[in-house]
Amino acid sequence: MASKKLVIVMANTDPRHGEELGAPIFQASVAAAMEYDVEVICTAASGRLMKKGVAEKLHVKEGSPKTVYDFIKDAHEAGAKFYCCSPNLDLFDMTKDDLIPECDGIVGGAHLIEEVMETDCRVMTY
Amino acid sequence: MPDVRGCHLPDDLLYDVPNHMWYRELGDGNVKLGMTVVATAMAGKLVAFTPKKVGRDVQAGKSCATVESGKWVGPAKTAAAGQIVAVNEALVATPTLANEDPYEAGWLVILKPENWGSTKATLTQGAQVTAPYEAKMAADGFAGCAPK
Repeated sequence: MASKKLVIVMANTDPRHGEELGAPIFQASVAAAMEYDVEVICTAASGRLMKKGVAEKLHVKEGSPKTVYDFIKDAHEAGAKFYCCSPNLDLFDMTKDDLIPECDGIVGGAHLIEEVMETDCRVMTY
Repeated sequence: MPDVRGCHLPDDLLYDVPNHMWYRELGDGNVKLGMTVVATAMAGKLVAFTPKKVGRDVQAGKSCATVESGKWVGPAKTAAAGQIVAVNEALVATPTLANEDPYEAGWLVILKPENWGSTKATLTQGAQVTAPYEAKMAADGFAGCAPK
């Protein structure tokens, strides 16, 4: 039986508010560890997290040694795939070369819509 | 090779002018589809290409892929019904291939068409595409392709 998919859409999760970043990324780790196929799509304000140098300066809890980038790496290592939404490149003046290695690709809006409408997946939005 | 308002339109292709699509018969019963340079010029720099999945049946006049640019998103419509047998993964990875090389590297999908003879009769041969495309550009208010 094909693995069920979880799509986590981070759109309103603002990198300026570190406390908002832990839950969605940690849940990606959990779901991947439970052997679901997991895609985390970073768009709008959250797209900035896919840029090198951003997440490593952010913390979910102030003073914690673990950065948001550490959370991303954990989730990626567990098998979650991270994607940057293509308009984010222009929005944050990024190129492909500016993206963290844990970003598995750049996707357009149609990718998200197709995943949601055509596949057997569950969606969580943040 | 017809060159309409600075837009190259290869002789050896078939065209669905209203939908800005080209077709190349592959000799094995399948056809390769792509967007014309007019389409990519009007869309601007493409930022995403999402084809229907391999194995998917598509209907005539309906989308075989979704194309996104900075200013536009829309379907690439297939004139023929059929089954998607291949998609251009290179274009998925680098959508601007459709702007840079719309007739070769920038192809969209390969289709196993149904009733290809009937569909082919509705398309325009490359050698005859100048007049209909000129009319289409005039109707759309499209000035032409920028010189490279």
